[in-house]
Formats: sequence, C-alpha cells, structure tokens
Amino acid sequence: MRSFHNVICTGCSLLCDDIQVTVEGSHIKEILNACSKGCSRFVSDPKEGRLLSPLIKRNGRAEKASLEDAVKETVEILKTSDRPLLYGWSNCVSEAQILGIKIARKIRGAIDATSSFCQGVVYLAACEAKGYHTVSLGEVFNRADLLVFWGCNPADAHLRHFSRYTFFPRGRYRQTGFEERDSILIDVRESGSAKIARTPLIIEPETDYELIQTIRAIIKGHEILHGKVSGVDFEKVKSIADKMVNSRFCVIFYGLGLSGTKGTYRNVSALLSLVDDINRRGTRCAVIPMAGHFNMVGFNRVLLELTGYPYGVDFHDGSAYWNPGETTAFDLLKKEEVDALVVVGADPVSHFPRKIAKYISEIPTIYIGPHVTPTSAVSRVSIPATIAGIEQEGVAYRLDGLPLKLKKIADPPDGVIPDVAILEAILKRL
Amino acid sequence: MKPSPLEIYKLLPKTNCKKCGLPNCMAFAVRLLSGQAKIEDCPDLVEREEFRENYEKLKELLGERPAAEVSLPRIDNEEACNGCGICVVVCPANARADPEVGSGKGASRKEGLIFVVVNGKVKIMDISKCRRQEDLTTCRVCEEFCPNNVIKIG
Ligand code: SF4
Ligand code: SF4
Ligand code: SF4
Repeated sequence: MRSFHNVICTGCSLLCDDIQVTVEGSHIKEILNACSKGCSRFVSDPKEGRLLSPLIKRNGRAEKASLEDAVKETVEILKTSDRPLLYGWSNCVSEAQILGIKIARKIRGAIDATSSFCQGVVYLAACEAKGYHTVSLGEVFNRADLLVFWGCNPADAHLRHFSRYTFFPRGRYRQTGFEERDSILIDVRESGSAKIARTPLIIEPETDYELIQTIRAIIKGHEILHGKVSGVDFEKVKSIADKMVNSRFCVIFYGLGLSGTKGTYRNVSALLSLVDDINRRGTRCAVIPMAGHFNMVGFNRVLLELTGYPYGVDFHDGSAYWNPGETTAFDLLKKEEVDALVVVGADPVSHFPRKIAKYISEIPTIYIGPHVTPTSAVSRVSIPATIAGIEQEGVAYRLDGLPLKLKKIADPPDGVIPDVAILEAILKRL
Repeated sequence: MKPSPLEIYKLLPKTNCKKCGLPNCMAFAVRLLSGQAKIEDCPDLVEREEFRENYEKLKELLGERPAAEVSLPRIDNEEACNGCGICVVVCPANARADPEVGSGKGASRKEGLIFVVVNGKVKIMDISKCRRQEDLTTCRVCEEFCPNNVIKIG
C-alpha cells in the first residue's frame, strides 16, 4: 500500500493540489479531500470504457493494430491532407500541446482547442479592452473582500471553488474568512451557488451587456433615466455598483453564462472595461475566467507563447494566422474545409451540432485519448493514451494561469503510452 | 430560568483542584450547565461539610432539571453530498484543530477533525470537538452553508 500526498486533481481547472491518495497495487483505495467530481476521475475503473489497443478502420470495420501501424496510418493521412485540423488539447498536459503545435506547423494545419468558444474569448476581449487585470487565486483568498460570480455556477462546476480558494478560506488579511467577505451572484436563474452568495441578482436572459454598461455609467456618475435595467430595479443595480467601488479588493469570476450568450466576447470586453473603471476609482479589481477542462488555460498560454495567438491558429501559408470565426475549429468544420482531423483528448462528435458530427465521421479522423467515446467510434485511427495526472506526469495550468506539475500515481494498462510519446512518434515521421 | 455559568461557579469550591478532571472550576460550571457533568463529579462539594449548603443550592438549581440536550450536527442525506468541502473549511472547530484546513487546504490527517471529505463524501470523524458541545455556542454554520442540505442540527 502506498500513500501519495499533495496529488493534483485533474477533475476541473481548479487543479486542487491537496489530494491524498492511497494506492494498493494499481487499485486506488482511498482519496482524501477531492470532491466527488475529482474522485470519479481518480477511481474510474481502469478497464471500463478504456481504449486498450490501437484500432484502424478498414472497409468500415475497426481492427486491432500495432502502435507502429497506427502511427504509420496517421502520418499517411496527414501527409496527403491539404487542410488538416488538430483539435482538443484541453485534457492533456502542456508537453503534448507543444508537440501538437509543432505538428501543426510542420503539416501547415490549423490547431484549436475547446476554449475557442469557451474561455478563450477573454483574449479576444482583451485585445479590444487593451489588456486586462487578473490575479492569482492565492491573492483572492488572502485579500479579496468582494467576490462577484457572473454567469457561472461554481457550486456545480468547480465544486471546491468556494471552500478552497474564494469565499470561505481564512486568508492572511481575511482572518475570519467568510465573515469578512461579501459576494454577489449575477445569473439568469437561481443556481446552486445562490445559497452561498450574499446578494443574488437574477437578470433577464441576454441582458448582461446592458447591465455591465449601466454599472459603468453609474460608476462614472452619469444619470440613469430608466427605472429598470435587465429586469432588475435600478436601485438594486446601483447598490451593486456601490458595493463594487466601495470594496477594497473585488474579484469577478465569469463563466459561459456571460461569454457564451448573446454578445459573446463583447460582453467580456465590456466587463474588462468595467474592471478597468473600478481600478481607476482606486479599488483593486480583477477578473478570472472560469475555465472548464483542466488544462484549457494551458493551451491558450502555450499557443500564445509559441505563436503569438491564443487559440484557433492556422499555419496554412507557413506562418501563424489567427482570425476567430475563420480559423477556429467550429468554423473550419462548419464550412467543411477540413479534410483530416486529429482529435486529442476531446469528444467533438458528442459536443458539436449533429451536422458537424456527421461531417467528422465522413473525413479521416485520428483519435488519441484514454477512453472510448463517440469520436473514437467514428475515427479511422484510434490510439489509446494514458490519463494525465494519474498515469502520466506533466505540466498543467490552473484557471488563474499558475503552472503546476502533475504526478504519476498509478500504472497505465499494459501497452498504453502517454500522448506525448505518441505525438513525438508522429512528429518524427512527418 | 436557566442559571448562568457564573451563578453556578459562585457555588463551587473555586479551588481549581482539578479533581473533576477539568482544568478549573469555571470549566466545571459550564459542563454542569450543559449536563455533561454531574454535581457529584466534584468530590469536595459532596464530602466537605463547609460546602454542604452550596451543594444543596446547586442541587436545587440544577438537580431536578433534566440535563440540557445539546443537539449536534449529523449527516442527514449523504447521497446529496458532493464533497465541496465547505463544511470542512467553515467549521470553526475544524479550523482550530488544524489552521491549514481553516485556510482552505484539505485535511492532511483524519484524526481530531470533525468533517473530512473521504472518497468524495463528507465524514464526521470526531463530533466531540463541535463548539456547540465544547463551548456551548449556538454555532450552526456547517448546516447553514452546506449547499446541498446534507448536514442537519437538531
Ligand atoms: S474542485 Fe476540481 S480540481 Fe478540486 S477536487 Fe474537485 S474536481 Fe478536483
Ligand atoms: S456546529 Fe459549528 S462547530 Fe459544530 S460542527 Fe458545525 S460548524 Fe463545526
Ligand atoms: S456536507 Fe455539504 S458542505 Fe459538506 S462537503 Fe458535503 S455538500 Fe459540501
């Protein structure tokens, strides 16, 4: 029996680093401190739903193949393709992401992650708002006295967000924890997080932009003529604006309820401007996007570092080119431009609209990942990979951008190798 | 009318002899009041003549009254728990037992804490630490903040 301390959980982008795992052989016996979501990642039956051998589809039937053959077939497909797309990347370590970018550059393909329609838009918004203010989660729990949750529901999606990093912990300058903090929840419905938030504000759907601009106007001292904003009484909006400027350190977390609704990145850029306005009034204010998958932020950071663009980069003419709406995975697939698709640790067939899913099943697709998924089922080639953070070590970025080193605590099934090794083999042959 | 701990303390020997097993007479007074100790736990009070009168008064004050029930938190609905760890961090007794836990970090050991999240579900390890019992506070923040109504008091 072995015990591992300070294991990092890859159940969500919070990457909680205080998990204790007791392992007996290859069986995980006890997990301390991880939430149920994290536990299900640790204890999923090693055999159940796992892809255990490389498969190649011939005449519509998937046949077992050697890793060697699967890599050869992959290279063949990529070499003959004119418009390859490499997609996924939010559920694998940054080492794999770097290799993915190298492959994309070499085959003049496009590379994109799930974040292009999720939290990646903060970069697009930041271009418009001329940068943005952000903080680390450590600073949040030591200093923040006002937390704003906008269009996100940590009680369901980032289970330990309140307890580990934001509302409840007793920090250096917030010694009594929640008693010294205030919180506001802005959403279109009373979500699970509403029980925690001191001031829940339920607004009409798709009126976030209006609300943000109203708060900005209030902060700037303009007169507001309407009695209601976003379906909420003006007085209530004013009290929220007052809370924001009168706090000492306000941190705004936003989720898909803001960036994925009408207005998309324009909502986010308005929010970033609001944060800037509050800072100009002398209150420290920052924003943190609530990324979903555990290394979604990592992909954006790595790609930004290597190409200058955060997501949806196309190397079609030899150099990196970024134009959201044109070079992003969703749009390339929707326009049916892609003629070969590599999926690493994602499941676009279940998550994309049916028409795109059908298109994916028609083009040669290569799937690299640990589990059998609807995407692996329609793929021409599927190659099994280890699970990052359990069977494989590597670097992942927490939702506030802090890189952490994941540990290996259990052995993978026989013959299954890390995605990093698979991508290296592919790159070598291209 | 419930007597105050001070009223009871005044009737005790006030010698802090520790024979009752507690550090001082005030602590014994608090325990007497909560029904966690009996008057007879203090040997001097029972045996020594000079305390006879006080002994009788104390019996009158506490004697017939049934010991106060301290209702402690229990896990009512384990199914609904998602291991969010809010109870673990928010509980003042947990934070006192391990300040790291109070600042949000998960428990490094299970012993001596009230709440610990094991395999994604909350477990009560040592409820005797609960401040409702130890310090007779009216604390109920674990019940109040559990987002899934897992913890019930009373
Ligand atoms: S909150 Fe996220 S990272 Fe933390 S234990 Fe739960 S799933 Fe894992
Ligand atoms: S009542 Fe207070 S001290 Fe007792 S377990 Fe709940 S939070 Fe902890
Ligand atoms: S009992 Fe409630 S507060 Fe405690 S871990 Fe479970 S769901 Fe969270």
